[in-house]
Amino acid sequence: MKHSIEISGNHAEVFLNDKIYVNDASLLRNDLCEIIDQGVTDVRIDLSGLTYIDSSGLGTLVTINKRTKERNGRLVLTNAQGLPFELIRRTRLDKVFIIEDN
Amino acid sequence: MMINKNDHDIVLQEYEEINMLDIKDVEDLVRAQMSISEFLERNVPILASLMEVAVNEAMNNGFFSCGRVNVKTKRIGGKLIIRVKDNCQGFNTEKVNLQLKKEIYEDEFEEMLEAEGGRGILLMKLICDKVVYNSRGNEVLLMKRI
Repeated sequence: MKHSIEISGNHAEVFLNDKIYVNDASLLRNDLCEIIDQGVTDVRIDLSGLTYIDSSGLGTLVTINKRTKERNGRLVLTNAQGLPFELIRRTRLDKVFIIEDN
Repeated sequence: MMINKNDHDIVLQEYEEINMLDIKDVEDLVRAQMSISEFLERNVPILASLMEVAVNEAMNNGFFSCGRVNVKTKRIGGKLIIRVKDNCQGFNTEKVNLQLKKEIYEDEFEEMLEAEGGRGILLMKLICDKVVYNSRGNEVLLMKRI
């Protein structure tokens, strides 16, 4: 598993590691949608360990952004760097996501 | 499977590496992801991570629309050529075969900010020097100068 999730109340801290390919993106989407259905509204995803993402992973982030907003919560991305950050910027998704340095 | 040309060609700076993958299930897909990553690291280390995105986009499109896909990665001299082919019905390629300026793709991303999918072909076009589909739409060729 390339992600780990720590839940406390309605907050979840998610750590992504290594490369998120299409199969990993779909596992991540399922796990996050499940915890959102169970009451998590605020999700922080730490991208410091992430070295690869493509449109499938970006799609997962868009989904989670929407689901949290629907529940008056939010998705925050932290420590975006390298290829993942470059793709977020080039697809203009930096306008959609809340991106914090830490 | 890898075919290396003989020493004669290496002396002539025509070093060529060809890698063929036949992906029939998710396990093959995972193996292909690793194999493509290694191929790119070996042949185009500087461009490897961006090109990995382009190749995976093409492979995922074929695999998830058809269930089986072939990926051929090849480096010939100063060019990287990737062909991705499936045996299904394809799609209408008229629009995707238009070669536009890179800035136009960024405008297209702008128009789909809320979309949960549909960025794959645009990313391929943003990253590669050439992205050409055959008329049936079941095969795509990616070219990147290195």
